Amino acid sequence: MKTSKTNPILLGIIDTFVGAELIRQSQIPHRNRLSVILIDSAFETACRAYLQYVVKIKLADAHKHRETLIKTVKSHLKSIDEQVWKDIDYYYTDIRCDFYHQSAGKTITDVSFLDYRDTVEFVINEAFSIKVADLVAQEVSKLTTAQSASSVGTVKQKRLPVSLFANKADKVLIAVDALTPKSAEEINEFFKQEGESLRLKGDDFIDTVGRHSGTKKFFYFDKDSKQWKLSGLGKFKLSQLLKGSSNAN
Amino acid sequence: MPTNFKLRELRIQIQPGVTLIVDVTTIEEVKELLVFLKEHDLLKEHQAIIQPHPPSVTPQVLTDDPQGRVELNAGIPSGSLVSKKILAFKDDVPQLLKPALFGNVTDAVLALAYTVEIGLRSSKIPYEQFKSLFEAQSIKSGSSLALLLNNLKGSGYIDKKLYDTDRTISLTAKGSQKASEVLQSIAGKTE
Repeated sequence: MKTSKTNPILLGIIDTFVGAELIRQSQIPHRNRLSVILIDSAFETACRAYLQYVVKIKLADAHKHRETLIKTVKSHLKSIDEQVWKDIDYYYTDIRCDFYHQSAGKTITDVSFLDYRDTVEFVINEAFSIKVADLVAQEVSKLTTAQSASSVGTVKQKRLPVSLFANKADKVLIAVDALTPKSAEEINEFFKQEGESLRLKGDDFIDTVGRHSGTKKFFYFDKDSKQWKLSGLGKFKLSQLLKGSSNAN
Repeated sequence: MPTNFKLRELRIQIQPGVTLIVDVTTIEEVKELLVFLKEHDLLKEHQAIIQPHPPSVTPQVLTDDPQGRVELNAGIPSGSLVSKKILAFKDDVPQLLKPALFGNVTDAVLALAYTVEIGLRSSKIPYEQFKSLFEAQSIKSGSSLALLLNNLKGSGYIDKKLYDTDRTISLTAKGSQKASEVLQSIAGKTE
């Protein structure tokens, strides 16, 4: 995995999350059990990386012990609620250690796993000022796109028909989700394929994505890949469009 | 004669599009006003429309916009969510305008779920969609969203069965009531 957006010290940690996600998406009956073990590994290595490269302290032998390691990390991440640490400790002590060392037949529910993973991601996000979920999603998307590139090219298969919507911004939202485009030309080609009469000039496109850009808006420009993408709010808006169209049908 | 009601306001339409709103506290004041208007030829018998003061927490306006629905359901005066910078819907997406107005993160999460449920008429919302919305609000939280929602689940504010089955968020009646109270409280404080 290579992405300049990711701090080099985090590459292995993000890849561990990617591995956990790929296992989770698999049909392996004990997938959540395996994923818990990986996520806990990612958490512990992230804690060491945080102390070493962010806080910049020299790790001592004492930090080889998990209890000391977590205690030191906690002392530097004071904004995190005690409940978060207790929750992670519970999963380590009562779930992960049991899975890893003792009970071969146990696993946990999908919801429990996802809640646990979110809490671990929360700590790593705070520690490194990143969004683990976004980085993992990008890498998983690259891997799955590479596997199916020959069949669908760069366009995702599941999407709303652009012609369903009258609003230009809604049409662009759907196109950006489908293409993650670099320019208006790609959007226009997409509209053409969709049988949509709207065409955007370069300025129109920038006006639309630019007017809606920003932390609370629908689009953002990924400087790393030089592509326009949907923000979290954009994804939420898209889900509302999807819901609206399914209600109308 | 003792009464069980309290007069607060009188609204009289003196001609189409023109309604007088008068503060009154006794029936004598009402009578005095009616006489006054008649003397000035501003009132005919059939034009007098005496309306009770709408309850201060329930605007008597039917609305089809998301913000109006939230205000109506939460019992907040129409327009106050935006005027008091509590929340707004931009392109049909709810945004907490000043997350710091909420006393704690749990209240903010509850209010956000309420705006989705009432404002956008979504009786339930998948976790990932809600997370996208939550993260866009710039709410400072010391806890993960998963733990916050589990706390709400434990308090009976979100449907436990739905959450535990497919990680979907849906407010219980108790949760909707609490969210209304949270919004009412903030709207009251910012007056």
